[in-house]
Amino acid sequence: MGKRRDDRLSSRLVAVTVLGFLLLGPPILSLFDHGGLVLGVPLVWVYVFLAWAAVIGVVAALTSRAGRRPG
Amino acid sequence: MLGDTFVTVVAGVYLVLLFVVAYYGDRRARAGRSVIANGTVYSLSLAVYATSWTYYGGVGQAATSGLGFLPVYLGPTLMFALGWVVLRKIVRISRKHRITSLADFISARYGSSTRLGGLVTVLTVVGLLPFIALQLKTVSNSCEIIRLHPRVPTKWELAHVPFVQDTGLYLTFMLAAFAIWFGARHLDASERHEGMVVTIAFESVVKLVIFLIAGFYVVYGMFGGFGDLFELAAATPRTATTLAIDTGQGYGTWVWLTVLSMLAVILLPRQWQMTFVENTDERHLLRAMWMFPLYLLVINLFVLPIALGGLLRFGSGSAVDPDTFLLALPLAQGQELVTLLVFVGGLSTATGMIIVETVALSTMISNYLVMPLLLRSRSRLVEKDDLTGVILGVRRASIIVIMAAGYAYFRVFGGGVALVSFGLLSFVAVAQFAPSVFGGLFWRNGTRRGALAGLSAGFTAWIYTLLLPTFDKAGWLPGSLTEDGLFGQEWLRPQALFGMTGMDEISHAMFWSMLVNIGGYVAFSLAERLPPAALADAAVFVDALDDGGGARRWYGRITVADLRSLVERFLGSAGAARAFRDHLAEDHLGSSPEAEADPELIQYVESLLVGAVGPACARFVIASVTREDPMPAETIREILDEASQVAALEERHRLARELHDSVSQALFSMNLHTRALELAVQREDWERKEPVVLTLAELRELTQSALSEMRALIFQLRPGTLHEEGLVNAARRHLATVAAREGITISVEAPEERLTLTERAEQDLFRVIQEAAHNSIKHAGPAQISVRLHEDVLKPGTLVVEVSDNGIGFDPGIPHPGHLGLDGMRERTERLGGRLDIESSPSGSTVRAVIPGLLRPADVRHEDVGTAVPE
Repeated sequence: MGKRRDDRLSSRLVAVTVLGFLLLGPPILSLFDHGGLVLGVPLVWVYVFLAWAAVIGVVAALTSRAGRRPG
Repeated sequence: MLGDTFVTVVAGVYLVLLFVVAYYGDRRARAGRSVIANGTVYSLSLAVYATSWTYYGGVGQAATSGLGFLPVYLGPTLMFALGWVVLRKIVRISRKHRITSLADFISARYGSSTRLGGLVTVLTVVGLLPFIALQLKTVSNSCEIIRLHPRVPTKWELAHVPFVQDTGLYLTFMLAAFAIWFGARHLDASERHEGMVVTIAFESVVKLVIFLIAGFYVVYGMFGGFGDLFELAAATPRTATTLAIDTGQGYGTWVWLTVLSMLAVILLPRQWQMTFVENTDERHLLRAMWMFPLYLLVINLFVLPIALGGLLRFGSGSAVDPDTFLLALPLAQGQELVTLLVFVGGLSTATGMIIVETVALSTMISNYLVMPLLLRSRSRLVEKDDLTGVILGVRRASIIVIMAAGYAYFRVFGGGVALVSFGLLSFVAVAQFAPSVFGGLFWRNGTRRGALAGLSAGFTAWIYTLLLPTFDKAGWLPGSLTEDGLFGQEWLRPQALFGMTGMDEISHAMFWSMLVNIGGYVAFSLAERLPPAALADAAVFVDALDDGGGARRWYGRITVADLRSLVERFLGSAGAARAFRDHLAEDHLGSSPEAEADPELIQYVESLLVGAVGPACARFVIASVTREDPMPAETIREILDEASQVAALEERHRLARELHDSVSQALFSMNLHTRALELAVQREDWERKEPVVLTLAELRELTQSALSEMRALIFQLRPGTLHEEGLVNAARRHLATVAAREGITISVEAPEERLTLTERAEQDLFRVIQEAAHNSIKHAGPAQISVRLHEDVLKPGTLVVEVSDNGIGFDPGIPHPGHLGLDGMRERTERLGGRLDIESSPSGSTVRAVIPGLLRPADVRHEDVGTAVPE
């Protein structure tokens, strides 16, 4: 039934949220936060945007799959 | 090129364009081809989150604290990742209960309290003023910068614009007119504004595109790309510090801001309006969950580079306000086209935010503050039949008042304060609603008193730790509150309460306000026992996602044939046949009528019945036909939990009332008319009038019996009357109608004085008597039935209920297909702690329920109505 799939989607999204909270906060954040430049750009700046984009990407993948199979 | 007049013309043209867009959206909506019925427009409309704060203030913040501006956009990303779990629930509740604002939501969750709704409204208005002031400040600043160009004005100049010269003042009133046109032109029951949503989505595109253009210009036009800009910044001591997050104060602020913005992104009135009220389909959330965060990511890409560009260009000790870098950079370079675009983009962010925010606030003000007062005072204004004019007037007036107050706030307090600190002040204010809203969504035991206590405490803390210090800074308070504390008490300093230092003011305020808010909410909620009505309210919110797509599962046992005959009663045989054929074909189930129906089929039947009789009735019907299953007690309790019982009872009362008012009355007058016709015909002198007279007599009898059947039915639907009348009287009345209908004798023998029984016991026993009489008439064809109720002489307190007949008897051991009476009677008796005996012989049968300990002395009051089981 739709219900079961819905539950699975919800649980995965909760997991993604927790992961996002961990990736985008201390102490993981502090690993990249020493003010240095990598290839001319600040490491922490690149890291935050990449991790952020990754979270959005995973959410997009999960939800678009749910959107394709209505029910 | 950038003269005063030219800029005014450009701004005017832009605003006219917005009207055109809104008009187009409204027209498409009226034509039934809505523009907003897709996830992309929905996601873009949510981007009203990115206001002037993002557009100008983000750069300003980045210039002072580097990446510290980012948590405000990371929070929404995390909250929207939870969209399918949290936001969908609110969307569904709002849809189902016609909730049109945050105040509606909180009030509806806690017993439709106007007081609570009023409190929420007042707090929102007070909390949001700084935010509106922020927008007006940016509008005023940007106008001033354009006016003074090509010179770039200093921070001091911007903070001291003469009152009459301030273009912001005139724009404020223009924006108020704009908001009125968008949101308070006419009244709509759903409070949806398609034109407004289209406009906001359009503005979101405009501001994003322009911001990117400005970003590209700064990074590639003024510097040699990202690498060049960053390397230059890293080499300059003043800007090098902004390339790291932790500037010596740790990550506390970062985490607090993330949490704070997670809450604010749904609790800000404009976000609530866009996310929940203007949502047309919950599936749009699926796209918004990633597209809205993506929008925020893209718009923030250039914030840090622009801030660095500004610092490098104007020098670190510059008098230019970092909040205006976005405009000042191209202006200082003489790039007039980019400057103009940035100005239009800024106007776009401010107008979008102000329109939605004031519309949402004005709805709350009129619904929870002004209208209740007007209605209560019986003012002459509200004596008219049509209140539309009054309501619209109130809303328009409140929009103007809000705007004026926002402007005043900005003039009084806003001079030299950074944009971001205004915004965060409002963020913390709306975050105070979080415990009541999320507690209400996921916790059954939250109560109105808890919500009132939590909100009041949280807001008091907000006022003390955040708002008062801004008053203090403006020199409004005697003494120096921020420095020395209240009454000169060091430990009462608003920004270091109880000596708590080492946190920035926002984190500090969040900690204390959330502590007292959540504490008050939980403590007051746990202190009281919830009445069933409050539990029913809670269930509507907490279980919002359960009763739509995936309903509760039924574990009852019933055959497919029985289920089908049930559906036939509601949908007719043709409808039932079609429904069953469709369902069985779809799921490839075995279609043997004797097979036991699986939970999915039962659930499907429930959904069919919902269409016919509404959810509460459907649940009740299914619960009663599947009751013979030896379910665990918990499951029974869960199925018939108090919430659904309350709902079912209400539904039944309504049904009874309507049947009484419509069908009963019709039958009654049919009966009268038939009788009149009969008499008239009898007086006539026709040749062959006999058949007519006979048919008329038959017709009258039919209507008569239909009428009494209807009365019996109405009576059954109203279990409350049973308790008013008492079991014995109710049984007598019911049996008298049955006897009249069936043409048999039914005698009732019972003690004169009223039996002292709980309501539950009365109901169950009434059903047992009713069912036993019904059984006997249906299967044994008796001429006489006698019903006896008495106390067992040997065992005091034991009640014996006997229903016996002189019919042909039946075998109690053989199950009767399609008929669940005996088991139901047994279950009811056992629930009361008794047992059911059945004796049957060809000369008659007796059903006897013996329930020990049920009769108690009359002077004992039973508080536990629901349980009648003795120890």
